[in-house]
Amino acid sequence: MQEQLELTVRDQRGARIALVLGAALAAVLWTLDDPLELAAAWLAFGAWTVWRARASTSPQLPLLALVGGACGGVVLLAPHLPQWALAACLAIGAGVAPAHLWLESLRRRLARDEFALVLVAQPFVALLHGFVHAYPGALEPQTLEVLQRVFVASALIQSGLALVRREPERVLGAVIQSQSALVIAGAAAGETGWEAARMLLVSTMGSGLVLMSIASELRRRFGALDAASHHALAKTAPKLHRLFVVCGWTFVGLPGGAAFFAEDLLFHALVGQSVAATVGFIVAAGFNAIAFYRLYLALFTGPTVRPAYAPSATASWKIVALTLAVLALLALGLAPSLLVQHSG
Amino acid sequence: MITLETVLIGGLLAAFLPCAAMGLSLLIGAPMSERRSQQSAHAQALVLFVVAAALIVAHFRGDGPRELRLAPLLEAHGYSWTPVFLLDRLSLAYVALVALVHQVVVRFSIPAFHRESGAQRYWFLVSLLALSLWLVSLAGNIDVLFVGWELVGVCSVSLIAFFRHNLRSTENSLRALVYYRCCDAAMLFAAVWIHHELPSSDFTQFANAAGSKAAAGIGALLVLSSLAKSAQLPMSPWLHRAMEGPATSSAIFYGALSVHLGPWLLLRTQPLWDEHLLPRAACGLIGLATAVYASLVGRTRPDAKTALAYAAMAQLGVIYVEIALGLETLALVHLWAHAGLRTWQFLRSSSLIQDFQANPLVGADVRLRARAGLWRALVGAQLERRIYLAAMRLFWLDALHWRTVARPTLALFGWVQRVEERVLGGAGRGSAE
Repeated sequence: MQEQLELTVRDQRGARIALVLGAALAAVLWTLDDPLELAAAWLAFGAWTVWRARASTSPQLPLLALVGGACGGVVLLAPHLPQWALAACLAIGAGVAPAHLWLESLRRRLARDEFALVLVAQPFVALLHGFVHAYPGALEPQTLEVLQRVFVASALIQSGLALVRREPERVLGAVIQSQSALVIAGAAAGETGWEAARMLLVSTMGSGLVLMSIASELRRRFGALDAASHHALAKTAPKLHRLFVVCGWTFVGLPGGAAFFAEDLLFHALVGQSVAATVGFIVAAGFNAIAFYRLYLALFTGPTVRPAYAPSATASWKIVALTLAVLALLALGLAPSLLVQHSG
Repeated sequence: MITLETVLIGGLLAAFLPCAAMGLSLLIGAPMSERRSQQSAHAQALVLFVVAAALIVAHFRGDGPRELRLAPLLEAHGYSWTPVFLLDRLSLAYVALVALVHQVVVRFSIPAFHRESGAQRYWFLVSLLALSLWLVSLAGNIDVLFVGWELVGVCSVSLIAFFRHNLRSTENSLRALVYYRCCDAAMLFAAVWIHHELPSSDFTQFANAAGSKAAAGIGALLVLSSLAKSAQLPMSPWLHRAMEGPATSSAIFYGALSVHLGPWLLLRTQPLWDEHLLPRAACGLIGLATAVYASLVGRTRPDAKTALAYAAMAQLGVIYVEIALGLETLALVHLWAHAGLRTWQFLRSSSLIQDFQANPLVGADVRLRARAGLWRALVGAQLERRIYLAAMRLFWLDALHWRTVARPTLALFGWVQRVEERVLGGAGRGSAE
């Protein structure tokens, strides 16, 4: 018994160290400019996911994820590929639907916190940013336009999936993937689009982190939750409830958050290039709001049920950290120009 | 020297501060006492009232319509998000309406929410709703209007779901949100189109852009975007469900104030699309159809609040027809009078039976009698019965929406999810799906 307990504690410590390592690798991805260094960092992050996937579930290699990751790495190492090949590799590497299946397969094999890190750290956006920065003329305008439409379509599919998913983390994951597809679509829409994409990216990463942390904390305290039924947690977990609702509304583009201005700016950047993509973008944003609200109602409202056991409370440092993050997101929503590099 | 700008900006800030204080205290988990929340809401209502009075006095002293432009909040590569406010007859009429009705709501909510669980949340939402309605009414361009419009939507939805333990309330709030989002998407597209096609997004410039090719399309989108807030066909099924909200006080807000935002938006943007047949015809036909639909359905409703909701919907339909016919002043007067009447009726709805019995004109022997008049002579008893049954079932509008929009959409994405699971095998480790 004692041995088993020690083993569990050791496992938990190991998982925590692995998570910190993954976060460090993801952070490195965002700091590199040189394509070779970026490719190395991308591969290192990929190796980390493979290691964790094997450690968490089975020793089999996550093949789909390996293919997806490899496609992403190829563009950095071979930027002179034909346009169609570059576009295909970028789309697959970024997990555009149906290539999102490699991400989905990874979700099934990674621990929840580890997959949340993959979503929140947005390594695909880092990869695309690095690629465009290193090889500015590599993608022709027509290719960019096609990619843009593909990303908007993918965002639409992900937001639709968020409407039918039942597990809270999966609903949030689909919304985050939808938002990040919109970020990439916006980034391809000229300089205005890039400014907007940066704003939306900051909002997606910040809000995604807060919302996924809350979902994870709710799972720890109350076990498996389901978006198809009502759990009435507003009274049992009032602090998490408040943070979830405020952060969620700002995340999906309500005034008060940076996402509101970012989406507005993105629409304006996009409409000049493709009306169909703009309509898709607007519909995806609408679906995301409905998906979030449906999840909120499922988690926090409904007839109050007295829990069979007394769930442990959330550590106060977590509440403080999440509150500070939400306040920072609200502050960015009040002063969006802080996120714009080239104003005027 | 106190300028109009100082009054407006100072007033908006002063109205924002109590709201922000309540919101912040809720967020950080240090709720205010009941008395403090009430005082904050009261202070905000007072500020709105005084500022409204000051703005109206300034307007009638001869300043005329004024546009106030603040520093841009965001500028990037030619794009600019600038707060612009417009003070004219239309905006001041709505500002005055909100200021007056908000006072009434606050006064009546104090006893209604005494020791009620979640009272501070209620005060916060009501204050934010009032501020958002002000933003919408004072907006000088489509961007500021959209901010207020979105906030009004979220506040209304949150008020409908105020009683979180009541499943019906929460489900109805989700339904209201779905209708709101559909129409908000139209407004967002209209806003983007305005920025893209017209020389300016300021309302004062709309008359100059009326000849633009895009004006008819933008006008049609604006008509579409106004439908959900005003519960016009086909976006009407949410309104009677919104009556699940707390007491009469919040029903006033979305039953008497926010439902009038649709006609208000049309009046505000009318110079742009007035000359074009498409938006005018859409506005008139939708209004007429809703007036007929709501009058018929309202007659079959058994409770006071729902009957009032349908009565409001019918009158709003008539206002839409007036706007389509170009009768702006009549529409504005109708809007004001209607909002006043509904406020009074919503407040009295809980004591309706007592009112009836105490009314010396009615007397104590109140009987509901079938009145066979011109209507039956025109349609015949059998058709009348059929219409009544159809009206009882809301003309199958809910079922129609479910079958033609909601179910196919959910079925499509459900199919995508099933394909995903078939390819990868199951929903995954520890999944609830």
